[in-house]
Amino acid sequence: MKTAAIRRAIAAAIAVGATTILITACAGGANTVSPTETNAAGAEKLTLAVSLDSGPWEPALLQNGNQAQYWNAVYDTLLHMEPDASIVPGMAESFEYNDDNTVLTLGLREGITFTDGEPFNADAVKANIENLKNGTGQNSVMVRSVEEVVVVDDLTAELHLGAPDPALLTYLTLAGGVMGSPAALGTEAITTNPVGSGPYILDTEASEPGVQFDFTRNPDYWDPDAYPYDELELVVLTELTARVNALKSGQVQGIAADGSTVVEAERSGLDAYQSPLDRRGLTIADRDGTVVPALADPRVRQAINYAIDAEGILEGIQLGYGARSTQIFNPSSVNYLPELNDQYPYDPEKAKELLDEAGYADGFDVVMPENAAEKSNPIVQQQLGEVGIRVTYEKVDATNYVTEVQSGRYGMFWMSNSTAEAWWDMNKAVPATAVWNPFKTSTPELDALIEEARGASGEEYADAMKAINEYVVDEAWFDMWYLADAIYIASPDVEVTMHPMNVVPFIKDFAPANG
Amino acid sequence: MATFFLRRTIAAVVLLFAITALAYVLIYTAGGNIARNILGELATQEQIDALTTELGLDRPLVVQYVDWLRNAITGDLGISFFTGTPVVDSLATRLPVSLSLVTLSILVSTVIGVVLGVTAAVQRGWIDRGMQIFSVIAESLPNFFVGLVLVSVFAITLGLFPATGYIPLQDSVSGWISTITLPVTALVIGSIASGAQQIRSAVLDVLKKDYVRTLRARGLSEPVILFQNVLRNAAPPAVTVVSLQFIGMLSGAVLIERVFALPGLGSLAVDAAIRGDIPVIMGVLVLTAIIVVIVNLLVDLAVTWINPKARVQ
Repeated sequence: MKTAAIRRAIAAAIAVGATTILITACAGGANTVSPTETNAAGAEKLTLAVSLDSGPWEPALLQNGNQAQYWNAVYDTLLHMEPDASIVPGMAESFEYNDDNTVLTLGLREGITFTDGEPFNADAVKANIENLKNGTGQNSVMVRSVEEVVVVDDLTAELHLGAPDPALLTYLTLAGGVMGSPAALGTEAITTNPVGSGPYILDTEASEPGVQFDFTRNPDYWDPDAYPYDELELVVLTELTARVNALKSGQVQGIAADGSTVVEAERSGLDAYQSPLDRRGLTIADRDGTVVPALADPRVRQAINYAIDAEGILEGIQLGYGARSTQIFNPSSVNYLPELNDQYPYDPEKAKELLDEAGYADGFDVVMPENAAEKSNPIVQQQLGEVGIRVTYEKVDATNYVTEVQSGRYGMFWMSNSTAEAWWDMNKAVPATAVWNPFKTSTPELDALIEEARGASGEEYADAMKAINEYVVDEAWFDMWYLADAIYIASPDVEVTMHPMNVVPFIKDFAPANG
Repeated sequence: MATFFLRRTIAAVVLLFAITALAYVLIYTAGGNIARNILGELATQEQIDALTTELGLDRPLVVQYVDWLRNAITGDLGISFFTGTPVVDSLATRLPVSLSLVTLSILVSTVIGVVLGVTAAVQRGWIDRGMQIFSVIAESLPNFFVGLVLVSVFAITLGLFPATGYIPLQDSVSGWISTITLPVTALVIGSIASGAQQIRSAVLDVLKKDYVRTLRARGLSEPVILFQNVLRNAAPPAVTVVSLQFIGMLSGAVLIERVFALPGLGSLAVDAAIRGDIPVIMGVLVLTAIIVVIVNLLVDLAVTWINPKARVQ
């Protein structure tokens, strides 16, 4: 009996083994059609993973961030941005403000046609800006300052502004400057089939929405040298683990990642690219003391800045992928002041002294919203507790966090915001009308500085913006800890340049490593 | 049989109503400002209000549900808030992925589970003990962990399979096998173990019955007793286990689809739930509920066919 059983077990083992070999053999055959082979052959195709599905292709609904890579491929923008954040011509060959910065004159590039044959001209600029401004897209805010688009002649358009908007040129390099065919704007068809004049054309037959998008070169694109690849494939991979595995196994050549993956990626021979982008820390919003009276005193807000060990959080939680910064601005901004980063070292004793001076020697209570995804919460609670500020956390649904913290219910809260152009960043957080100023706090001094910056240009503009930066740091409107790096990992056969203001590089920022 | 079928169908329809209504209430109360999620952090209150009205989210809950239901009955599940694609289209492209994953998994796990379970019950001895040890280990491994190990070894180190992605069966048979092998393996290991255990004890129970002893006394050969009597009597609990495993795998597939980036219903459901894309969430829910109801109905029919006593009950 025993011998029979053993014989049967061996037979079973052989059967299982044979099946495995058969399946493996089939799989091996299939692998020859995988993208790895195509990529290894040369530089004719670029395959990237994108962390989010594409939204609608309607130009008024496009988004920056991860989704920018989709529209980069098929749409061109009026202006372009260089890696050092300088602005250069795009579809507009020239751009010039009048003396008081209220009229922007765009001289348009001749001979551009959209993929449906429509010509690109001043009428197309007018149609696109009006379409964006009147739409419900996230980026309609980018052309909010434009009151009227005047068609001067076929290749000259004037943007007339209600008030100077120093961020407008930057917006025109991003989703705010995207040009779609005027004949297709607002139609149902453009939701799923983009009609632009960008470097590539979406191959709708080969693409599968939500899964992968294939693009072929647009033979009519005006600057083909900026895009070395003949084909482009964007694969939707929402899960970081799946992106890392796809990159390691050669299925894709570039992925958005985070600090937790860098060491492992570099060990596997991949290249990690970093650039400081997201400002993280506390917004001490209740500067008038509406819900937390103590926060009305600048000394209390400064005490909070001294009480929290920002460098420790940067090392411990962000794993060092970032740079210490006390400012709400991007390092490429005209008003970024490195010296301000030394203003608030970790000094609990100094914090206690300031609280004592402000009359809060016994501390005070504050309720903060708890974003379950943020790991610094217990550190904030403990370190503020050590100087006498008693934090109670209130649980907030993660999908509702932004609405909750903008509601004006919390005197201070943790937040991560991306940084970009100086005026844009300032406008999001500082004026009384800013969405990130939930208690609508303002001071006459600050209002005057904002007005001064709005009408200025060149050095004057930079100086006024620097003064605003210094003011909010001195007055401790925030307790900024660091600028977190945007991290992008790519295979060694691709050379990547990080975009100064976007979480992932634009398509033009990729090139074959050997060329 | 017809009455049985009719009764179960009516129950299924009532169940579908109950599930969709409950889901609507849960999504609604769980909140999340959908218009804000779509418009981003810089939107003004006016923009948010305008979009909320446009999406019909400012209407009372009952009105929203009845409106959704009326369209759903005609086969119109609405349009995704975020991508603008019709929900029915998304479901149609993603259902085959999940179904092929789960169906193949259930086939593999049933065949291997039955072979292992029956062998262990009949042979006992070291085969049985070996199977028990395998079961404990396999059941304690989470399927996503198995998935990650498989990717790391077979896709990244050995390069035998693609790490992510899916090739439909109709496009390429070998491509389909290459993309589905690792996910199926990850998904079945636990269910092979639990299935084999259940089948082993069902077979053991039957083997102890008096009639088996009588059959042996009458001189019938062991294979005849096993295949004609024991397995048929052990089958009903096994079929029920398989149906439970099928439903369990549908939810297990959510994680596996994420790990292997398979464009199935699970990935769609997770992305939609994170963003508050109500039409998509409801679409996935209805489809999943229908699949579960159909599977249960098929299992009931199968059990009735195998065991005539169940028809009376």
